Amino acid sequence: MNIKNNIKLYLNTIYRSYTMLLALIILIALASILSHSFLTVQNITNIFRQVSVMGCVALGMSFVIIGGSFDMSVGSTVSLTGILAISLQPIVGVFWAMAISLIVGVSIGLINGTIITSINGTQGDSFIITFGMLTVIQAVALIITKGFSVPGSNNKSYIFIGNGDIGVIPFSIILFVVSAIIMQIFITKTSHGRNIYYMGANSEVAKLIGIKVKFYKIITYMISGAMAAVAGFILTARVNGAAPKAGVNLEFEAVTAIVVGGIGLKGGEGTLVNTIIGVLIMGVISNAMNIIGISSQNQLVVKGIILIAAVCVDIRKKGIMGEG
Amino acid sequence: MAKLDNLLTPRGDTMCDYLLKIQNITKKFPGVVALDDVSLYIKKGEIFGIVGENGAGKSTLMKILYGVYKNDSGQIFLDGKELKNLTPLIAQKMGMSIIFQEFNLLSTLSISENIFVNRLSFKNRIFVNWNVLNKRAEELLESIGYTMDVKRLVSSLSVAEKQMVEIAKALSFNAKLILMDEPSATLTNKELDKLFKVIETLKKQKITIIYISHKLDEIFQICDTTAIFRDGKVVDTKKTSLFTKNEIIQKMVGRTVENEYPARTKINFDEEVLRVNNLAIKNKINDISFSLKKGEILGIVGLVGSGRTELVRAIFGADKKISGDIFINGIKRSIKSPQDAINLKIALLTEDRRGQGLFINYSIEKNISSTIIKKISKRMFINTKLETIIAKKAISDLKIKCTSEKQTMLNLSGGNQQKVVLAKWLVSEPDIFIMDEPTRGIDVGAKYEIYVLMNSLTEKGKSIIFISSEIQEVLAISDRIIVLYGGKINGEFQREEIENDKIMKHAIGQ
Ligand SMILES: Nc1ncnc2c1ncn2[C@@H]1O[C@H](COP(=O)(O)OP(=O)(O)OP(=O)(O)O)[C@@H](O)[C@H]1O
Ligand SMILES: [Mg+2]
Repeated sequence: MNIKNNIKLYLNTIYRSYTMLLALIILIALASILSHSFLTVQNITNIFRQVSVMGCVALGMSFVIIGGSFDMSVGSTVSLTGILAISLQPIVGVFWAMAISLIVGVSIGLINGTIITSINGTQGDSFIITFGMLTVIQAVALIITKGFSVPGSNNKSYIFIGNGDIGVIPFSIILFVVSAIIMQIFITKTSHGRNIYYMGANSEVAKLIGIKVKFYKIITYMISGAMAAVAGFILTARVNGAAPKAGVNLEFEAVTAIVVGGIGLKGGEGTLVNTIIGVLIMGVISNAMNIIGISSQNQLVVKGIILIAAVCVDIRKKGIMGEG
Repeated sequence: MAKLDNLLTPRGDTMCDYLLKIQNITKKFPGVVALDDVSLYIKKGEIFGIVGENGAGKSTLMKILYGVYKNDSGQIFLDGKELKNLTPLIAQKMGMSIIFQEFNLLSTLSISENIFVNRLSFKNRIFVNWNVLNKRAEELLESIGYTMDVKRLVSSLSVAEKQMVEIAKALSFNAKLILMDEPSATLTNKELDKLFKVIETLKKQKITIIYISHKLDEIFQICDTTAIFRDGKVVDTKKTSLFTKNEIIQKMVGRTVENEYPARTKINFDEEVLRVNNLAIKNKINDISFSLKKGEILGIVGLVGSGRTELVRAIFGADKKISGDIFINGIKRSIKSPQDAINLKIALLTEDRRGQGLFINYSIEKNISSTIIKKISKRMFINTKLETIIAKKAISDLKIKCTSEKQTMLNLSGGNQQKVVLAKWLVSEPDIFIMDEPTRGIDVGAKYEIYVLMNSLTEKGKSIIFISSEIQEVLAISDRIIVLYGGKINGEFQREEIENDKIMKHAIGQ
């Protein structure tokens, strides 16, 4: 009886952590049946290439969500940092253009985090505040560019970020994967990462055991801002040009991927493995919809429905495990 | 077995004598049998006590009766009708109400909203009549001796106050069967007396109550019949007056316990480790000064609302103080946050384990290591092997009942959760250990072991500030006691002078 129970418990854990992986595999199988051009090396690298921008955004945002807050400002942060990276290049050179953009991304995170921690904001507050920030940064991006696109860089190494390959593997994918690995190790294996989890699980308890809650909250936003800047580089390098609205909807797509991957919105749960699975699921769905020829408006409808469904599942899961 | 049967089975009685019949209930969780073939027969208008070690299955039975968990097998009859497919809502409709061991209040709502949650609608009315509800809530709270603005948010209440709200809520249903799972765990004698008066009144109205407590004196005071649980089984049930205290303890923990409290050897304390001067907190604490010596156990006694918790929270830097100086080992220190306090080797075990003490969805291991995560890391990386070793040691030292150190806190019994809170601070090895209700919900046997532990800590030169609503235990193990009343110190007593009556008098402001 005991053994049977233990096996049940074990299967349950496996089931919990791998349902979304299973969903991904089923999706891939489905897509390959629907279209024989899906499961080709070229299309698969294509998917990765497409998701690397949103993927980087989602990785950074995962830190914030695990820490118990939201960062909805990332969409326009991607736009702004992309614009800066491109338009500053003729003036200060590639290195400094990128460095400044990165600093801007991190600073946006710093501002977000500082505002939220200084008012002792709740998770809901963080949603609204960063949402406000989304609008502000979007406006700044429009003001800087006067609403026009910025023509691309002629620096080969910059373009390499978005279009280059190392061997057969696109550099942007390597950038995404390497970031993911480093960030995953940081959050799951280090004391700082663990403190972010404790903060997300219950910031009151975390405070009372001496964790610098404000510090860690700000750090998560800074990481999110930095990853948005990286996404900005990849995006502008790939299409070789920056537009003030290039990042629109990225925050929405990233949240969708995170929730679909199974990171609980309450905070203190899940790892970046969830994020990666969620990003790939969304990537496969987009790609499949493109191949089948679904219009971009209709794709948005589908993605919106997926987000709503994923949130419902997340809440239901809590309901079942919740009160004791 | 035959002897038990005589007392247990309804033979000879007419069936309708029993309001509640629990027959052969079994409930298994992964890795544990929480209830093993439990049968109880509870008469109408009876106050039925349940006692048992931490993790014996008491709360699980309550949750099954209220439809929170489903039993694997067995039957429940209420008023002769079998209860099947029970949910909390149905249980409520059948005339049951419950005080959960872990509170179930919505912290962002007011006291009266919490009391009447889900029941705000009235016949022929669209809008809620708050005046009526608030008045009713006030009356309910007053009946248990507690006057308070019922529009206050629950998040601003202390644990004892939350407990009062839970009790008022359970009373508000006009239920015929009330399940009380450790309602007295954080109440002091004064509030307890009121609660008992209410229970007596309910009894006269033929309302049946199941009363769970680890304080055996209470059981003898109010329970007509008492059942003893051990490892998920009922080991004995009979009229409470036929039990002796020792017999209950013996049947609960499987061995005899000679004394309730270990002996405390008197030492001369000279070195001052903590000195608090003229501490004040807005609306709570008024100019409090005291000191703590090395190796001393300083008890703080006071009624609910006397400012005990606020005082220690302010010392620990968890709440703001208006004024006051704190000296650690003779040096003036500014403690602005818990982090500052922890750096000075001060620990605060908070009274509210769910809200302030535990990461309830995390494992035992992650909770225990939470206070020392930096210490068990090398160049940032957590030594997870060491983390497990420390957790395992704490589990065996404190006899925490669990399936493994990876079990989530949510699945532990209340008393075992409390032991984890204790463990997480013990592993951080503080010099000054402030304990606010450390034995809350802990069984008789384990309490003794905690007192022994406190003794051995002080022998190693640590100092303890000990707060408990259970005045007897503070009196028994403290070297010195200060009594708080209305945010001020209203008396200080050395060990030799400690007397229950005298201290109670000071606690109620005389
Ligand atoms: N949801 C759950 N999942 C798994 N195990 C559980 C769950 N709830 C309780 N248990 C286990 O069942 C046993 C009985 O727990 P229960 O809460 O009924 O104890 P209790 O008698 O109320 O103890 P205490 O005096 O500490 O409150 C314990 O071993 C506990 O770990
Ligand atoms: Mg219990």
